[in-house]
Amino acid sequence: MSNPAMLVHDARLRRRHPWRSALIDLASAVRLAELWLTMGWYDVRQRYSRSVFGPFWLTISLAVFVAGLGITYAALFRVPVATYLPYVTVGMVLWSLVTALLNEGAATFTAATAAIKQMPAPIGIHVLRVVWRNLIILAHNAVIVLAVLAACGIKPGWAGFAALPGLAIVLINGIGWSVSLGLVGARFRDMMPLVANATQMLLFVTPVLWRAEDLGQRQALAEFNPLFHLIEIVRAPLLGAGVPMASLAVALAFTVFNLGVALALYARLRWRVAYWL
Amino acid sequence: MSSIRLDGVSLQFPLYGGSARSLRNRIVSSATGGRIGSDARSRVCVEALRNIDVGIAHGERVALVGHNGAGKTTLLRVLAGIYVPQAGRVAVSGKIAPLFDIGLGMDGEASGYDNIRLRGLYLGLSRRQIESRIDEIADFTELGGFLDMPIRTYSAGMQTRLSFAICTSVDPDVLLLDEGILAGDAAFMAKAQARLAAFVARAGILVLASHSDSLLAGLCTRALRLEHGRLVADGPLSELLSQTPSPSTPRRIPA
Repeated sequence: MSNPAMLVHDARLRRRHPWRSALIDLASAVRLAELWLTMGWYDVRQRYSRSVFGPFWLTISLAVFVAGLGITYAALFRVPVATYLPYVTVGMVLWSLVTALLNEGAATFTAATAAIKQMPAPIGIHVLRVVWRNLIILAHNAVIVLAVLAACGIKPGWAGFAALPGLAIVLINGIGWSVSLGLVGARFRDMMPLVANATQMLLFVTPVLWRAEDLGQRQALAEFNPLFHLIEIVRAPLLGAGVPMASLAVALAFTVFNLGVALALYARLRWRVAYWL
Repeated sequence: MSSIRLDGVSLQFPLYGGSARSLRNRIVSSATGGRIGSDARSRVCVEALRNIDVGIAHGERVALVGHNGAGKTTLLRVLAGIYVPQAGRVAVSGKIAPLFDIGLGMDGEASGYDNIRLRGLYLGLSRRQIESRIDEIADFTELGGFLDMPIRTYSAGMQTRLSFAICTSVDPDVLLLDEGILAGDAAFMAKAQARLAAFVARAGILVLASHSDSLLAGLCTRALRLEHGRLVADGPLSELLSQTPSPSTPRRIPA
């Protein structure tokens, strides 16, 4: 508090060292943890501010969805409910996390217009806020996963904790998406409906409601889908199948690519966001 | 010691019309190319600030004057670090507290107390520091039970009270105020002016954009006049105000 803060914006310096200034900006965003943790928490609370069940509405609607789906599709695919229901439950909980990260990621900066135009702060705080908010929601949905696994007699045991690094990889990709889609979405307002459309379609081509093996000859459809691998590295350990190494490798490669794109865009476009809003 | 230094600061706003802003037009125009494409793509820019050089020293109280759209708010946002200039360099030392657009608040659905916390965090306080000051801030606003309500239920004057109380309670070195901020009722205005006078006495930097000559005369000593994004005059406030017609004089706009 006693040493005064210093604000310097130098157009020439920024052009000369775009990467370094982007990384400094990101680091200072991370350091404002109290701010984005509070904002993310308020976001969740506010979305359900006057409802009786609050954020548990998400849990309830997802529970109803997987219950209906589990029973019907188990009959359709001629598999026992006790094996299909846990698969689809874990899959849908993760899918709703991934699609929320994509959809809300595209609105990261447009949704924060009022704050960005009023108060100076590294815009990375809004990225971290989006990811943190969805982690809170995931924690609410985790209740369904635990209940279904227990009811169907699936005990992943200690090996189930191998899902945590996988979850961290998903969240890191969420940061990448939020930066890239958010920046492009601030400039081109078509981004949000475009992403909403894409995620809707992706649900049907990603092995969430059905298994990759069911594709038979056309397994490549799943193998080339990075979302499948991101989900699989969390889903498989929870269902007691251990970490699939091939999926882990693809997921890691995709993460590196995703973060590379995000950093390149952040370095180039970060400072223009306030102009676009 | 606080200080502000602007060297050759220029800033242009791209104006994206309804057509130029969408991805479709980008794709369509690049696919068709030629005359129509480049026509649809041509960007209109508004030159908001042009080559501003100015230094403001510790303890100065500066008024920004000029017509609507002259660049006052943009300049304040550059000083706050919200707009990054396309050319030139801006350096501000000291803890900055900006106060613009109070009508929006930080989060319309959150309560007054939560908005105090959010704005305090933005201004660089920790949660603990905020909690220790929150009663004092609440007292200053005189909003009482309203502080538990979402701020979207507040009137403009109530939001002003809240935002002003927070921004001035963080011991800023540089206080940036936009016009319309001091639009509370008479009793609050008196309190606010007393608080600003105390701030000024501590010799921080105050930059205030306003159309109210009497308000500026009471708080500021130096004035900068902006016209179409250029700095056209810089000097003692009394001189600048006497030079020009009162802003209330209607200007004829050529059709």
